[in-house]
Amino acid sequence: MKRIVYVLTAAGQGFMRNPTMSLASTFTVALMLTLFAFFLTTDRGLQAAVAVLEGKVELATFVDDNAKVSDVLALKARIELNPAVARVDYITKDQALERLRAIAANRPDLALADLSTNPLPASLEIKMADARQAKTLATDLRAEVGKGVVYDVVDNPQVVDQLLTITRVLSIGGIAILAMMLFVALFVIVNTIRIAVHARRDEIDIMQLVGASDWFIRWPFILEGMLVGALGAVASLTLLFAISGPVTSVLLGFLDVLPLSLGPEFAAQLIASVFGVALLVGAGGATLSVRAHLAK
Amino acid sequence: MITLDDVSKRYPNGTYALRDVDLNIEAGDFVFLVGSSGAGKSTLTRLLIREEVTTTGRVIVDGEDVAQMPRGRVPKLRRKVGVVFQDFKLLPTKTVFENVAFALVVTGHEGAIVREETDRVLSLVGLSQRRAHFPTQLSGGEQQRTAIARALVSRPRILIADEPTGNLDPVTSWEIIKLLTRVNELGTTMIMATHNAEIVNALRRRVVHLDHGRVVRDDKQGLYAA
Repeated sequence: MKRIVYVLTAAGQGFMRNPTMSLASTFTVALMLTLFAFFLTTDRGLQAAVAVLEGKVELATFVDDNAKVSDVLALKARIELNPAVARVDYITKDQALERLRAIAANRPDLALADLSTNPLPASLEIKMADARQAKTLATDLRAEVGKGVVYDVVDNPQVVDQLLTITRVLSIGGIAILAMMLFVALFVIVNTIRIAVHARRDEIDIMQLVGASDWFIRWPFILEGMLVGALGAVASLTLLFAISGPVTSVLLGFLDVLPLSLGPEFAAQLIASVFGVALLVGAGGATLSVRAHLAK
Repeated sequence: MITLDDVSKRYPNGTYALRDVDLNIEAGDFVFLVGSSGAGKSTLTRLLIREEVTTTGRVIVDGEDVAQMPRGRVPKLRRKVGVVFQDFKLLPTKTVFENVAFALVVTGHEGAIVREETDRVLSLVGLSQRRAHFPTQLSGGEQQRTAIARALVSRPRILIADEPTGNLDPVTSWEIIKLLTRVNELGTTMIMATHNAEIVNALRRRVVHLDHGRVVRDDKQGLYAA
């Protein structure tokens, strides 16, 4: 019990004895964690956006007017076997015309001339389950153009492609920036604890002399490092939750359809991740610092 | 209790602090280490608590080879070997009681034992009345007695004193020596490195004389100089 009291008191004293350095490292850790949380949130938002857009990706396969219905249905069945495909709808020529009329009725700027014949082709509308496969499927279907069934293939997966590229760039850039911030935070904590170790070097010498174990000597410093990390996490999360409301509403107003999943489950994950990283960085930096001293 | 078997210690710059030292110290012995500065007295004491490691040879303390000992066992060794220095090494922000109790607190003893043992050893060194004082409020002799109390509070089997009277006047030095002989009489093996010829000559205990890292004399009831 006395030992625990000693370790806790020493850790607290270490933090308070050098407030400037302690606050500087807390601030650096908070900055690093805010960036970390920002990337985590952005990544989650983009993933949600990709999922929504992926669900909207369609491939339209226009059918030759002379194709037999049985051949078209056979093609539909074949496409449905593809695991990247969610659904295939057969739109007949009449249904296509019906749709065009409905659209025109809602759009005063469009006027349909009196159509005595139906110029629209029948089509197979393919909804993708995995948007990344859309291009491959389109290429496969295009190979069948002119063979009697497929007349043309129209795909427009660029939006998803672009979003996937943005996600990739953000992930790689985010990881690079995070790695740098992690290094800076670690460096600052190592130095903060080094000062704390230096301030208590006589005490450490005597502890070693009278037979205190290395772990007993290390614990106060590790706890001090974790305290810096935890305070950084609290500062960072306070900031994040203070601005998350306004930012979310701005984003929703701006992007309209993007469902940024910032529900309670994600908030819990975010808090756990931020605290986990904070405590690890704090304890890791302190361990590095005090180990260097004990090895002397 | 302590055996040095063909021990040499060479520093990276090539100088030898100790050379081919053979020494055997029985439990309960009182041994003076004498010799000029740089003769190897401090190096020898540092080998016993694994603050330094031999270049060649074996150092056996209480049945264990100190040089081969894994790092994790060193704290246990140091609890068996108390050390007192010329400069006391007390913590200025702690009282006499706290300085002494510190050795037990940081080695994981419970509160009741810490209080009991600290009281016992403060009474042994005659500092019970000064327990609430800080080191700066004490005389040199009292500071050294506090350091001795701290070294003894874990009930070590061996006490090493490296120039314990080096900073003290003759009268106070005698008080400290009296205390150390009493500790020895209570069963603790005593090794004392010193330049104080008067004390060595008066006590007529075993004298190990080091010169340039070698043992040049080992007298059972010796004098400071041959």
